[in-house]
Amino acid sequence: MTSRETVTIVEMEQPFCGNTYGSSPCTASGDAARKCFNTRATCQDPDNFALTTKSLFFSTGTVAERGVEGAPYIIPSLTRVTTNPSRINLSAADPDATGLGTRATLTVSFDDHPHSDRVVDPYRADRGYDPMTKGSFWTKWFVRNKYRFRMPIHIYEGYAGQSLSEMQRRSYLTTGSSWPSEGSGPTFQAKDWLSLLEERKAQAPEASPGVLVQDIGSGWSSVEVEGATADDYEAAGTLRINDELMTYTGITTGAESITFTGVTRGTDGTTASSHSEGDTAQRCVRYTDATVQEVLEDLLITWGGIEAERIDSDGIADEFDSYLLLYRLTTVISDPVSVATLLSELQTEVGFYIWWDERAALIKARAVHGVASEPPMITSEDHILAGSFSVVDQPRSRISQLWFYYDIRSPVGSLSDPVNFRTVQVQADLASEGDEQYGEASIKTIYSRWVNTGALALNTTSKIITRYANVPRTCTFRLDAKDRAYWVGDTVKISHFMEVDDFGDRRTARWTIISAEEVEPGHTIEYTAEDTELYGVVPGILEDGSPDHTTGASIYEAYIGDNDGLLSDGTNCARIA
Amino acid sequence: MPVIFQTSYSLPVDDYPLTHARIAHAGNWLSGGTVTASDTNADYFADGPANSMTYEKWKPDTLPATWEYDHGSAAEVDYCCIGAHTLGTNGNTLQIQYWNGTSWSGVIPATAITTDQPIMAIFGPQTRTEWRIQVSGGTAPTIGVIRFGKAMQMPQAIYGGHTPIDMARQTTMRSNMSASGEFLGRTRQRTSLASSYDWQHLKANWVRSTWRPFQIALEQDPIFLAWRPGTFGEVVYGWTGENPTPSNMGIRDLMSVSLSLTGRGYD
Repeated sequence: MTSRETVTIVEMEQPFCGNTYGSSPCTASGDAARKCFNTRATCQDPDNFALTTKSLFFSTGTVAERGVEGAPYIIPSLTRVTTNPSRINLSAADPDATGLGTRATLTVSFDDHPHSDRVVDPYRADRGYDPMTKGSFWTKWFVRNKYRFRMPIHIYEGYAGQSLSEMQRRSYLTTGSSWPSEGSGPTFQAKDWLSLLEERKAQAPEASPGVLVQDIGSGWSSVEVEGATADDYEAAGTLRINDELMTYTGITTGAESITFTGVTRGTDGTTASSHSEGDTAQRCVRYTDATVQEVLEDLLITWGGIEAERIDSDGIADEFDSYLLLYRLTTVISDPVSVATLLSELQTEVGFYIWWDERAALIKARAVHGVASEPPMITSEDHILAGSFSVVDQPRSRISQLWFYYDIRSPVGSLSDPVNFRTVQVQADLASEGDEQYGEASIKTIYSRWVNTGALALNTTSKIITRYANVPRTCTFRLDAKDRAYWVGDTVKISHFMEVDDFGDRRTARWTIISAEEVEPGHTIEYTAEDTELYGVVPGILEDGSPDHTTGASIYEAYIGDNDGLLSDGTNCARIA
Repeated sequence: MPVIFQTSYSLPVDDYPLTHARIAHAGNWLSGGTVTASDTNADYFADGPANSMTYEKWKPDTLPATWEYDHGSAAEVDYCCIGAHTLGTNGNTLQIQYWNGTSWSGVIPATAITTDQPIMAIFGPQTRTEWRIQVSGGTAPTIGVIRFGKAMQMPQAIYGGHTPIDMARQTTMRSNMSASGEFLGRTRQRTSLASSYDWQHLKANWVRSTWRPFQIALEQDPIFLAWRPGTFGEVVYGWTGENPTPSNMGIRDLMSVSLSLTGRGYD
């Protein structure tokens, strides 16, 4: 048997100017030896800086890491790669995590060394000095790359003989760097793309700068503001001034002010009233009868600043069109709210989860639903490493009662005040609170700005109570790299000798992987999975003319039951919700 | 094989026997000259082999290819060392030549290279200005280090206790098994080679005149070392983490020294 020889390569996408010094459009001129290094920090013509990237490759320098096709110039100065995996927060139910789950983090450390400036200095031949005798690779790189944050870093993990494109790639964005001590090289910290949605980075809407030029009365149909430009607002949209919402159909631009025209006052359950000079005219975000995917992508792209190509739109469409088509969202967000908060609300209130798939370098999303096809089986005999399996109860995630406030009265009112909602849907599993079961209530309250109908409220609360009335369990286990294809979001069946029924017989359950990490790259992968057995299965409706049900037929196919709703073997038939 | 001799090589009269180590280091190889190559792939560097960094490589686009070093003035040379190369993997044939004023003349026979082990070609001293290697056959290789110079010769052989560095492989191996004892997989990581070279009964005058400059060179760059070139083919391109300091043996004016090397692994 041939053993696997592991390879780890780090690629840094350094910001780099696409122009050539002194050649149009670059207008820089001067001593040839003092040319820039095609980085923004050394640029001598910032107006014409053309942002592209240059890939630098690093390895630890093992034999297998040399001569990797696709990376001709690999600097063997990598000393350590440490990652912590992202962790999905299924239905945003984990009270100890943010709604977006836990961010994947990366720490990469390097040695420092003299360097020839090849690759990083396009004008090396013009300098007139030997770069090997001046500074070191990282001391020079840090000065030349002052703007080194939000820089993509990719970790490639593979085996000897593989080209770069054949290796497993995980992607992150730099968030910081440090130089721990004189005797070492630098360390870079990075997080996954969802870190762009952190509270201080992304708000929807952003705070608007415009203020009223003069006092306005409750009947005015045009509103003039200063301190802003038309670009700070939508061409036609919704404004909030104090506790009043108003829509407008256009904007005209004056010498020192802009004027909103076609204004309809006191919309969305608010009251038209007078306002004073200097009051802020806040842009609002409005969704009307929008699909969940439309809202999700708008929040990620428009307000989160995430590139559209980083979102698995096709995969999300497949999932949401199948399971979340009922949900149509109508709401107005009238003051700045962090995108992370809005996404967290959506996940809980609609029933889906999003995560950063480091391997695919995509933001993915999946609706909370039963299993639609037989998941693959992993066993303690053929897959799970000896001594690696453990199970932990998650009592803080249990929910026995869900109070779901929906149909908001006023978008400018408090989102935590029950009075601001017309209806509450209470879903409870009171039996689980009895002394013979868990012995106490566990109440979760949701105030929804997104859900406006009883049908949707019932759908959401049913899903949550069904899943969380019993204490959820998570398990952790490790697999050999031969099984590394399993990843976050996958559902698997686990058969382990520790998992038995009342009679001691082996039982298998469905688990959804919420976290995955190559703890020994190319060798061992550690997984955390949540027990999703209670989600049940979603049988598909069979084609006309399909044979009748027989004992042992697939549970993923829906057969018509008898008048009592039973199949030929006495089990319940599928139900169309 | 990675020690390659000139056809009908005859040991110069004043040289130590070929049972004694030959060392190429920064103090005895040529530097500061001009490098040219017949052609170079766009992702590689013609002058990469002129420095000691193994990751800055030359790769021609077409074969046969030549890599030439012009020292600018005549200098005595009796070795050519090549490290961090893939001549074996790529199935190449190697020739080493000098410019005799009218044409290129070979100092070793055209040799088919079968491994990526570092090469030390040894030939009778030639005082020449321009040197080159020629690569033919197979597919385009990469080469990280090429050096020409006059070798340091150890006045004593190495005796018992030495581990030939090719067998001193630094490899980490890990295996996985399931709870029921099934073998699930194995990984390995090859890093380097590591061995030590011990010499005794070195004359004090030789140590002062030759070893000390070598110590200084060793602080600057890696070295090539063939520990018993006439008998065994082991050549290492290696470096040390601490300077090998000689000590008096207490026998007349004789001294001993131990050199620990970490070598670049290649297979």
